[in-house]
Amino acid sequence: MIAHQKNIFFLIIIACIAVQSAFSMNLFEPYNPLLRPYYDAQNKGTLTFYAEKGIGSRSYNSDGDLVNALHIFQSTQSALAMLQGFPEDSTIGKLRTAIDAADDGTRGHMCPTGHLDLRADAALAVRYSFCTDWAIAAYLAYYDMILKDVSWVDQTQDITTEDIRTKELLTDKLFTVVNQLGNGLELGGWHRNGFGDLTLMIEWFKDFKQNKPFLKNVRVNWRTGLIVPTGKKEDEDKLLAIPFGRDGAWALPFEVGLDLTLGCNFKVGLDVLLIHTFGNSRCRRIKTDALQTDFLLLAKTKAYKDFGMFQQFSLYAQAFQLYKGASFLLGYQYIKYGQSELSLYSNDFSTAIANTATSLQDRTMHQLFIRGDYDWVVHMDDCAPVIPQLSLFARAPFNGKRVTMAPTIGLGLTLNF
Amino acid sequence: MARTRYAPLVLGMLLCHSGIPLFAAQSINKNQSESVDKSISLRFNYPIRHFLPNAAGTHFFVTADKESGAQEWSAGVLQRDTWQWTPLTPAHTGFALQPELNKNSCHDNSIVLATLMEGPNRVMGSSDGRLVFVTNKKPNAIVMINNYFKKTPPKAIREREDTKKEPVPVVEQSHLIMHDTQGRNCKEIVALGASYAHILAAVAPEHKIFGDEGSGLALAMLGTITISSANKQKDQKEPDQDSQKVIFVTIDAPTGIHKYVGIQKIKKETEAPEIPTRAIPFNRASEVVCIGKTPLTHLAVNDIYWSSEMQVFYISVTAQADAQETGVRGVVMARINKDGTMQLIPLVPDAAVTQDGIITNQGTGSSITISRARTMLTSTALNYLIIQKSNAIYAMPLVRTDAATDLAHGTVAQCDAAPTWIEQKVNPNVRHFSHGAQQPHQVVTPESFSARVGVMPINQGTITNVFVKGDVVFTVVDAQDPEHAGIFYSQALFNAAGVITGWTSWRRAVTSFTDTGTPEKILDAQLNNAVGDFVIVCANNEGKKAEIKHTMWSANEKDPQGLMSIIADIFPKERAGVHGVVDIPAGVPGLPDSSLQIFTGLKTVMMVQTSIANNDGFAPCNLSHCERVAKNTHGAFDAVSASVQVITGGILDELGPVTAAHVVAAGDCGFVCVGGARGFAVLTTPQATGWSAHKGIGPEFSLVPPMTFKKYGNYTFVRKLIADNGMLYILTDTYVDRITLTGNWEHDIAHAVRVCTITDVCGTDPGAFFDIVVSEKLALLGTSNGLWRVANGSDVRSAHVAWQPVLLPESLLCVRQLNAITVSGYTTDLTNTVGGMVYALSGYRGKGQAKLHRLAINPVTDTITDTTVQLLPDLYVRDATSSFISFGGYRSFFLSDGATSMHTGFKEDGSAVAFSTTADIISARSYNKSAPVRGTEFALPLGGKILVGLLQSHALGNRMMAGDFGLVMQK
Repeated sequence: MIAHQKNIFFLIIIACIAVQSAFSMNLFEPYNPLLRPYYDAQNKGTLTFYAEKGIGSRSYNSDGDLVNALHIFQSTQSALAMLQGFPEDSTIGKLRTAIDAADDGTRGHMCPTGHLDLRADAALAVRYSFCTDWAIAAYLAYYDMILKDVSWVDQTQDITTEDIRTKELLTDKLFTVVNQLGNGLELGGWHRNGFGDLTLMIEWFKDFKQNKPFLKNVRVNWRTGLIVPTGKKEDEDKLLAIPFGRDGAWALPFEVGLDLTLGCNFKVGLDVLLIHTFGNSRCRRIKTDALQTDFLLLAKTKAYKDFGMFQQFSLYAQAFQLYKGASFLLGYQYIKYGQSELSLYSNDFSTAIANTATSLQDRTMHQLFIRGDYDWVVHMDDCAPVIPQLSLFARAPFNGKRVTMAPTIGLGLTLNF
Repeated sequence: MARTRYAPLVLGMLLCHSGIPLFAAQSINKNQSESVDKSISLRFNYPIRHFLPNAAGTHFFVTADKESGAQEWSAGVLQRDTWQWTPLTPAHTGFALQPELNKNSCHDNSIVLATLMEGPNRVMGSSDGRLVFVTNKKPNAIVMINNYFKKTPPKAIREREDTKKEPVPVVEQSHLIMHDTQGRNCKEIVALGASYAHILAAVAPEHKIFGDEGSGLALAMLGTITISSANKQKDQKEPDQDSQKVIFVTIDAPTGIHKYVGIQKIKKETEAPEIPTRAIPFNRASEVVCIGKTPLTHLAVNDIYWSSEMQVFYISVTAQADAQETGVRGVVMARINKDGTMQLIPLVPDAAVTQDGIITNQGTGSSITISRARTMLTSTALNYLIIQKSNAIYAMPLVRTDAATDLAHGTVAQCDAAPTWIEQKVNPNVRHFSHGAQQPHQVVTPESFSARVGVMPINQGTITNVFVKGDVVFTVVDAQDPEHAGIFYSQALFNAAGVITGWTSWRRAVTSFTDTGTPEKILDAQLNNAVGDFVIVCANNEGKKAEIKHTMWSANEKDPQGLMSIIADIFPKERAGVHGVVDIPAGVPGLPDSSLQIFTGLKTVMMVQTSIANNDGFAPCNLSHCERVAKNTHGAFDAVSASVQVITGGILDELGPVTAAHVVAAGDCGFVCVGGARGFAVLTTPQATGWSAHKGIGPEFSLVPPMTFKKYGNYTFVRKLIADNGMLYILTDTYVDRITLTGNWEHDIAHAVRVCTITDVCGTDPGAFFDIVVSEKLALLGTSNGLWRVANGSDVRSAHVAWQPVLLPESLLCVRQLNAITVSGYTTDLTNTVGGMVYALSGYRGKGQAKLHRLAINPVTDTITDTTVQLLPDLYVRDATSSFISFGGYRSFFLSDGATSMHTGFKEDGSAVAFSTTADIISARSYNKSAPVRGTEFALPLGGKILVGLLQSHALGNRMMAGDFGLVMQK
């Protein structure tokens, strides 16, 4: 009876826990295989709490060059192109005509810079095992991010009449023009926090003991579930205000992994996670001209977004319980977000042009994981009701494409029941 | 994309394959000929007699002006794309398998007459054209070059001739002896013309001269006949099908019969039996030229021209009468009927013949000489006959109806009749002149503005050629003084019905300079209006045609004193190059003796003298070598004589980017005014005077006293300066000011009248003015909110000016450029004499769109009314007006001379200039009214992105484009 009540307790907890899945950033994922605590069939339930602190950020543009966070899509933003693609008799169209200047490579170009920081995040993971090889789990995260020290530097020269006219009518008062013509688009910094998406998973894992000189155990596992869009959505009116999840879309994750125990204290493993995100419709900022840049988009319209596939590949090697309960893990992770696609509800703008946005293109991330764990199981009786486990970890992003990534340090406290 | 560069290369001698330099061109440097530019000139060792470019401009057929000794180069052909030069009169025709039998009778002949067959004939095979000619040794026969190519001779021949295995020129040709009206071999052929299928020859009878009885017009035909399959070899594997055989035969012109008529099929090697063929009578008694019972005393055929638009021949003659009641006609139409017969038709009936008419004359001793007749299909889809009569060119409307059934087709139309519509079921409806002139008053007279191409006869020389492209008539003028020779053009002006109402004055189309800096003497030319290039035939020291060159868009010069080199130095790309350019024709108030070009840039103004008055007119200055360049600092003109004056510093530093300039006359003085983003300034002396407006600036600005730029008023963003009737109009982004010029600039600026503000046309929305055209009472304003004009009854010179919009159907809102075409060439003459035309370019950068409209401007004699500014009609939709061109993208500039249109807009990878012909425009509209006209595109040179001006120099005729890359010009 007591066991039954315990099961219900864990199920309720699982149902209340959410997890994020970020798009443009390497936000913390509590179900990340390189951060998950070790578990086995003896643990009926697991409750893990994570906390993480970002240490600056590293941003990469389309060429993989290390750039400022506001340069991940383009190094400069074109204010002239911003006015392209609108009806001639609209206010924007009339302003475009009045400026009467062509883009010579610098005219109307603004160079934005800023610091995008993941100040902190925290997460809760709950897992409940049943029927020996099965488990259900739920994950939830909370994020606190900031974009600060934003500045826009006008690249327009002072050589031609067009330069002067562009400055007077546009770039000198860009923030006002953009805010008025762009339905509230703000070009300054911001501070946002909130929950990520709720992730529910059912897992299966099984250890296959090996009676071989070197290979001692093979663990096969897979999991699938549902990502519920509870996370904070992208703020279309702010710069690089990324969603704390899948931008309001439901998603289906599927993960498969293989862990090999070599000898008594050495493990290696690989893991593949694929997430299919269902498309959704909402009001989005879109490009109205192919030459436009991604931060200066004045048009907002309802659009269906078909998200690209999320692919995550993880490799690790672990010295397991090297000294008493102490373990050390070194991992590498590659993430790719596939190209997304927009379909506009309106005929006022071109879907083809809208899909030329750089922010819709695929993104990649490469990061290293270092994790140290201590499991008190070696000091405690098997009958102990709770066995604690402590993890210290660090993530070090080192390459990517069209992303901002935060190097982080964090800790995880796990209670195995 | 052609990287434009000009280099008239003299590259050595091309040896003919016999090893002796004969009638050959200068050799073609292999590297150069393979370059993108394909810049080249060909200098011939012997003078050229005939220069026959095909219609596409891809091949040039040339004959030697030499009685003997030209050998295989008696005729030759030049392929433009490869600049490969091929002789057409080698010693043998085909391969000389049997040297005696294959001996070429045309070898080393003198070619006395030549023409080209070309057109939509499947027999023709390619569009190269087939050369047809008559030689001095056999003056009664026509020779047609069927084919020419280079091929390696068979082994047997190589061994016999001991030649290497190299391709040699091979020519296949056909001969036909032409007959007189009695069917006898004629004595000689005196004139030759060809359509795509027929050759028309004016023949003199045996033992007589042309004009005597027996003279006539003989006809030959190039066609096909079916070869019977039954004649084929039994063992051949090909399907048993009939094939076609090319036939080249003379026709019995009165009956249309030739030797293959009635033969449905013929066996492969079988020739039909010969039948006698006759010419149609055409002599001094022929009624088509002679009106009255007394034959003419003299008749000569000057030219036979096939009109592909009208599908008839026009025969230009010299006719002399001596009887009192005799009248003469100078042009006769010859048509080939469906039954093959030929028919001669007078262009005007006897009742409409007038004394001293354009193509007729009447009275005792009346005579007429028409040198050439050409036809024009205007961009308004109407037909005109262009007549060269002595040194004058005239235009006459032509009737276009069903050529097969209506004898009026191709004759002179009533001059006062409006065009009518032809309803067609399949093709778009078209307009035409439907009724021929029947009475003298219905025939256009030489005094009519609509007839006088170029307004005045060309008196400075002799017209050596006339050709028509689009709405333009080009003439090639030979004169004693090279400065007066060259190519000149006149553009048709249309009224609201699309009918020609006048012509622009003769204007130089292009100028080429020799190495010594004098203008090249041009004796013949052809325009490839798809790209705007001229192929010109220049004179040698004896004044005979001896060198072929072609104009190119050039960005580089070897000579550092060339204008483009100077501009590259003065207006470097890092300072955005040239910001503005204006071409000021000679004769504007304040500039009676010269024409100028003023280039403006960042804190810089450069004045270039482009022509200077001499005894007989204006002599163009050599811009390829500017002898002296004066660099003036401190914003002052230091009165140093030089044809190029550069002024920097001083108040120009305060003005910043200078974009507008103009020459004005105020009081008795001439001034240069400039304006830009940060002000307006005038070049004046310390006493606030200028140079003498009556004397002008003199050679190399020698009459201009020391002057300094001085800033007036608080103008910003000055876009354009234009002066008319003693008033200066300053167009800025947001208002138009009118300044009455008295010479006291302080006073004049202080009393400027604000003619219009942007809120008058745009309200409170963002907006801007883009262009202005002013002519006396009328002004047109191109704005971001459409085209506006001075309202009915109002006057732009009055204290309060009312404005009203001009509706442009299918237009974009922003009208950004107005090109005024006037008789005199001065835009301010738009409402004088016969009025003019305006091209209005509307474009929207935000969506990459542009349209062009044409407006007919009627003269304003009293007040401005609804008929003062009218749109030209749609070509194919009855009673509708529409845009003239829909471009396939944004265009910021448009320039057209009526034959070639240049238009440019910004592109992602840099600006590109596109060229379109009038034919491009019409054909695009023929099939799809909204089909965009793209044209042939050229990228801007030197990585240029911004273009600030397209213009055609009034003095030189050469087209130019300026921008951040500097200057590129057609040379």
